[in-house]
Amino acid sequence: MRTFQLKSSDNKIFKVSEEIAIQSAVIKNFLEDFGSDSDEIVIPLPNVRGRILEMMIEWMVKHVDEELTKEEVEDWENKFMNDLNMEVTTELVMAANYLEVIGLLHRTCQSIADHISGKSPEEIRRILNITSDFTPEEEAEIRRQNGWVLNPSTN
Amino acid sequence: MSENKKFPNQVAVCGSSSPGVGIAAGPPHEALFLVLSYLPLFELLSMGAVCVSLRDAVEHDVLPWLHLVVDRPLSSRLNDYILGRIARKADGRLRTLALINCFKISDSALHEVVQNNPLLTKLYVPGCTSLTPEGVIRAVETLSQHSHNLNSLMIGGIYNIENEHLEVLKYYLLKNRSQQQQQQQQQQRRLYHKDIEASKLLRNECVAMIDVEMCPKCQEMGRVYDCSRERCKIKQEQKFGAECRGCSGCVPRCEECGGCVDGDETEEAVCVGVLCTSCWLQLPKCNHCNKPYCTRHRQNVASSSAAGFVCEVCIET
Repeated sequence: MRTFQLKSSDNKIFKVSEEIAIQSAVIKNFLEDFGSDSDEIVIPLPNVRGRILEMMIEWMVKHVDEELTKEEVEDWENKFMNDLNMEVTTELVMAANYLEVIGLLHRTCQSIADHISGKSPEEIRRILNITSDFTPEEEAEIRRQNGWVLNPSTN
Repeated sequence: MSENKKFPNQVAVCGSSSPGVGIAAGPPHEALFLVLSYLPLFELLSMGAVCVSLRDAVEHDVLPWLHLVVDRPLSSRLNDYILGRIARKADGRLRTLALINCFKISDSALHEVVQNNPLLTKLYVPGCTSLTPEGVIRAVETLSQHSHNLNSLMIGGIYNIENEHLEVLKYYLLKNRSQQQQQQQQQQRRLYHKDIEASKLLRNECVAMIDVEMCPKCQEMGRVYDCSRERCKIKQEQKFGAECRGCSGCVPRCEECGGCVDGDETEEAVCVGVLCTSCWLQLPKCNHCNKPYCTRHRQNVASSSAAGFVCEVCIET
């Protein structure tokens, strides 16, 4: 089986087999367009740093492992997601989106969605580290529009 | 093969509420704009009130609106007028419409949305008790006449569904479904503890065609579950229809493992459900009443530490 080298933004090199790499739709297309029989292909990924790429490869390795049952992969995914903090999760979202690793994109986005489940705008700002840049007028307008959400009696 | 070695996982911080320590709050991370399309309505509107760039994305982009999920706490507040307003945000490209227990929504409001959104693949209206079976059939009919995208339907809890209604609905859905999906359907077993939660509706690709069927025990329409227990599974395979296949009214099931429980081994959970003894033994319990939460409900309850917890019920009394 062919193997390739993936190069991260901080110049770390990861050797992966074709089977693993083509879970990324972008790499798959790249190989179809520029594929040769050479083992020496280096695919530069300037938008992904080494540690994130390493985690992505870890994910992709698990998802081609034919010895694992569907449940085992699911359990592994849960554990993988539990060990992430918000910062790494957001980086993985970007990387998975960039390389089109759809399964990972879904899980990481869903994980952030779960974190803000049921939360108010103020709580979300705190969880995701965002400052409000609304003018008081804009704030009032949003409150007016979302009135039915916050205040059952206006319905 | 070098790629099979276990990669050391250096990230150990558990990420429930800890943003990067010491990083000043600022504009939203780019990734959050991708997350928008994963949010149910309440969270989406919340995000739209966080800052200007997120507001603009929620207000003007179509993408966050393609999978519209309305669940608690908005279910009871959603009326026909608001549904029309928010459904228009998808600009006719709605893929999922999930109205969970939105009991004010009428047949005509549903039909209007359906008419304008021929790309719908999932129509989930469980517990929308103002809808009628005829209204649902009309919606499904409309979606199946000019397009064939609809392949999954949830109608549990709508009143007066008869077998004839179900047959008509199945006819349309089967026509829309690809062969592959039909095969998946046959292999699928519906397990109580894994029954779909609203948040998981969005991206689930192999979902059941329709959520209700006639319970083999009481002959009523409802969600019928297979048993998760190995011994029951084997029984079922040997002779079609194991004794413990039925709706949740006929066969009480453990909230945790989805197995059938018989009278003497039933344990109580803080949440209304029951647990089997072996699951009960393993779950952490309230310091006061010694009842555990099932894992699913426990996630919704705020704080609990190594020292244990006191359940909502005990705190209130």
